[in-house]
Amino acid sequence: MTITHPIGAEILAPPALRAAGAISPQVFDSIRRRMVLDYCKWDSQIGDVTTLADFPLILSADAWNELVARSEAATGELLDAEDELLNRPELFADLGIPRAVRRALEKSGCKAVSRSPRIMRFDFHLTAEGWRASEVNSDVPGGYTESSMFTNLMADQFPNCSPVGDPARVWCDLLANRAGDGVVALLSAPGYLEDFQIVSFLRQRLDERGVRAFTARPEQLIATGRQFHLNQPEYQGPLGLVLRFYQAEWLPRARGDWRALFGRGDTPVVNPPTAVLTESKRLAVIFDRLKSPMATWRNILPTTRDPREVNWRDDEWILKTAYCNTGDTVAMRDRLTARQWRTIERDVWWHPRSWIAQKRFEATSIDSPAGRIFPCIGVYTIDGISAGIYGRFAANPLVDHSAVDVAVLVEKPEMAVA
Amino acid sequence: MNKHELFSIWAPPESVWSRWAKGVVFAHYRGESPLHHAEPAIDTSWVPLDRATAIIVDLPGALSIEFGMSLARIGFRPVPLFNAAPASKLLSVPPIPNANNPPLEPTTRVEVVDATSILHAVAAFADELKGFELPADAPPAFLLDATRRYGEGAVTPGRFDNRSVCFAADFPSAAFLASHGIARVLLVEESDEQPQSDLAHAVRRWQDEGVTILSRPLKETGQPKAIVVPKPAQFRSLWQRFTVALGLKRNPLGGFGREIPLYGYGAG
Repeated sequence: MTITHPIGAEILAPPALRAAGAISPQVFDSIRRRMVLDYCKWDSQIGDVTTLADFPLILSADAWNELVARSEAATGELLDAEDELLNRPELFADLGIPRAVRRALEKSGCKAVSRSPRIMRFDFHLTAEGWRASEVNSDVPGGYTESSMFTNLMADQFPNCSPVGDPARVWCDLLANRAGDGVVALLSAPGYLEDFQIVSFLRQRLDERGVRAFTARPEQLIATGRQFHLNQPEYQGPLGLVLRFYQAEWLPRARGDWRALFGRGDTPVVNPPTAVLTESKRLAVIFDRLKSPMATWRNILPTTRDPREVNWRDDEWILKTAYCNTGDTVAMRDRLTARQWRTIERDVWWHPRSWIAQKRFEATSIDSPAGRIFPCIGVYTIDGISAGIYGRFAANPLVDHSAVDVAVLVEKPEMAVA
Repeated sequence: MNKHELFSIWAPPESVWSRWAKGVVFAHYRGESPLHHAEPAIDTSWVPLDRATAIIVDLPGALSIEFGMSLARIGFRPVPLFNAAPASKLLSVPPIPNANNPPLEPTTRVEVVDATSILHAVAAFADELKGFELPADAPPAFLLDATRRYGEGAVTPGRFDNRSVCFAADFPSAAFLASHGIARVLLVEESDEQPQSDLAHAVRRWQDEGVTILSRPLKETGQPKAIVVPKPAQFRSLWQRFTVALGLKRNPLGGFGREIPLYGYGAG
């Protein structure tokens, strides 16, 4: 199925998603430089590809309303599942949670944590059957500067359109509120520039709100009694909040007392490490064993199975690891060399509980100034309420070196096609 | 001069290669007075001036900038590729020592990698570079900090860990180089002939696609020599991302396993 631009007066309803025209190269270069220098977008060039699009995608109001409804419903289901799973430690291994993290969860007493503030991002794709979600980033979603600053800068060039939200603003307002007068530690893994740029961006935004925030790595946290302290060159002292842009499943790599993050101390940790339960792509594998019905999830997620249950060597399946945060471990046989595929086969054979098999779906392409593109609409929910979109696209259904961040806007109501 | 003006000098919009310039260091510029004391101009008489040779300068810290400036004087466009962020505010006193944080040696910087010196150097040379009026298609000299992966001293909790690595995706492809007349890449390190292991991924890809790789350590004499870059460990490997613990990029677009990602996954 192909969506094309509306042509002629007979068309009564706008397409769910279309691309607008490109802005002038000079204006775009100026936006790109502002993103690099003012808003911490430090990976705006990957190989030969500029990873910011010079045109926006325009989402219809109806499509946005549909995505809002699905995302918010799915958020509620995930939080319910998270609460339930905390009392079902027998399912931890089936979720593919690393052993050290499982132990930390169990040792923490498996008690529910505060749900606020909590951010998630659902990645939707347009298909012939409607919107399908490929995954949720429920642990440490990124994309704040692209979904907020870049989208706002692009929206300035399209007066008939507007962003659907400003996730960074909402998120930082909540973080600032939760931190109160306290200092915020922004955790990320050293050496990962794309993570460091995100915590640097959040630091800027918190600074604007009068909140003292410092980037740090987990080793620089010190658990003292029920409170976290920070030991970092710029600040040594108690913390009001720990923002974790460091995946829960990576924590065992960190030296120091990372297990304390799973505790129930007085210093809030956001997102809570219990997010590891719903971040697992294997959550879908255990849907039938949960009391939570997960109706929305079952509807929007492609069929997902334990690799032992299906013939995943068939081309209708793809494989991905339980903690596939960025698509880096998604495997399709026809995209791999024979040797790579054999490597995957061996690992799935030896570690089936670290993988899922997921039915492929046919994503829909649309026309754009960059040619035919396959969009991905990442919808944030913050404390259960939809807060904005992180848009990306690729030149084919796979995200490869051609993937690009794109602003997603909606037409202002008075401007919409009747 | 503000950071936008500084970046525009080092990455002018009209330059073919500015898209690859990294903004991390520049984003931290707050108009500080340049503190950098440049070494005398470095000899470049051995550098090929055929306009078909791009250069990778992989020298420690500010020396990379200094050599880049020497190359700019003979017609190359320096392209800063520094991924390390300077510490935004350095304390004049070291952090409080404790069990997790042994006292620093008196000479140890708070920054693990001395990105502040790089920032000072780009600021110090800005006016001179601005005056060169290099053509938009001047051959590139990509500038890297050779200390990027390890920095200096032990990485204790009380230090600002700004180590980084470079990736194949930090550079243009061989096809792009060829489309701008570049057929050779000259690697300049302090004393080694072969590229560092992270850089080797980019260089080996170029080599595989027909680019001739030359090398000429700064400490040696004579003309550049052609080298053969062996496959680095886990070259194009799917599993690199599974096995690396520090310093490599998760983003499938910037790493080494980019054949496998699916759908619309991006940065987390």
